[in-house]
Amino acid sequence: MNWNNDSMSCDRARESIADSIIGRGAIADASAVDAHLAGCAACRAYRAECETMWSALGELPIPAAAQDARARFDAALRTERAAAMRLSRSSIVTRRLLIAAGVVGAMAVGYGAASWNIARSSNSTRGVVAATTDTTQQYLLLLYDTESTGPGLSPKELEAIIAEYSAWGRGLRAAGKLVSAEKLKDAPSEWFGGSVSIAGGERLGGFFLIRVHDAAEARQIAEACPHLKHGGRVELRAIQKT
Amino acid sequence: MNEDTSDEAVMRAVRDGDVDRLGLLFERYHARVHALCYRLTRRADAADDLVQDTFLRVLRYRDTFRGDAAFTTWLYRVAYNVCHEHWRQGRRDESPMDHSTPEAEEPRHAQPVSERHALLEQAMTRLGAEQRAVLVLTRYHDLKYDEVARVLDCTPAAARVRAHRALNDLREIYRELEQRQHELRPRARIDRR
Repeated sequence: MNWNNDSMSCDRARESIADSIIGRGAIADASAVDAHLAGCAACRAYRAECETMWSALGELPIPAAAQDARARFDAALRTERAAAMRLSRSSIVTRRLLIAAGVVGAMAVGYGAASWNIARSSNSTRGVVAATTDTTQQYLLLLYDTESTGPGLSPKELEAIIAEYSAWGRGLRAAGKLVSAEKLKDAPSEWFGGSVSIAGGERLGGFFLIRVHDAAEARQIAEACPHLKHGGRVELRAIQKT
Repeated sequence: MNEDTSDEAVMRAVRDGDVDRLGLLFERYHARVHALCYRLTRRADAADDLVQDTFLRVLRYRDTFRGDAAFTTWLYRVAYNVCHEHWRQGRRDESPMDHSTPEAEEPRHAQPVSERHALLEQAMTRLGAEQRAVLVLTRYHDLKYDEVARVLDCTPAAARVRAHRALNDLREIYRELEQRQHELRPRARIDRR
């Protein structure tokens, strides 16, 4: 009970006392708290009890951690790394499949025969812009397989994402933006004159050659590529007109 | 990178793929995480497993480490969540975080050094999970309210209120236990006669 004429209530004083004990530091209203304590035996007792209790908490014993903790962790770490490696390989395979789905969607000729080029397009103009019909700019979308340790996909999720890639490819073709699309084989690259390394072990998985009016439109198409949404990388390069 | 490298720099390296560096952070913090898990669950054997779970979760969710707060705050948040899930997953044979019973001690439970400590241990186990967590984090891990807030996923103001209530409740429970202890003593003396 506070019989003093100080302006601080017991509740407010105890909040500040708790702050000073828990925070182990000076409190902003220390002088007001002192004035309150001078006239409030109950709050003095509260502070003394809390301080004693707080100090005693520091003396409570705890058992030592298991002696084999580090050995157990190292073993668990090895297991996790092995699992992550398997998942990573699985993710790359999955992304290659997704790139193929995009190419198949664009070409509608079936997986395994996903190939199209300008020479062929001269005989078939179903939505594909002929190479020499206008002055639009061509861009290359390069799709990279990115290593990932993310969660695996369920068959249903995979099916949905494949449909998404396929729809994106079909959309390009239907809009007359597509010139060519190819999925690269998964076989190792053959390098001549030295290899080029890409950070994170990424590999070029396929490409889409598009024909658009300007760079902004090309960027818009690149940004809409589902490869980005699902952890892959896309590089956009303009084709130099000759 | 050596023994003097900051926790945050080591964790960034782990996040960026150098996962072997996690061993260094394990060496630095496994004892502290063990103490945290023990004080939250009151189970030494469970605490050993929870430490392993915590660091494996650090590995699995390393991408989520942004480095905008101290590594220890992030680590304690992971550990707190692991402890909370441990209780929620229904390991009913072990003590839940929020209503532990002191009678259910297992062999490796640390023995209190005095009657006062035993009462205080008992009072701590009767606090709710978040109240106990806020006291453990501030008393044993020197966290400030804003850091506690990050661990418990609340605002600093809410952390402060919880800390005040926890201290008040601990005091009340302790006084009640102490009172009961005093009431039992004369009866025990009479019984011995």
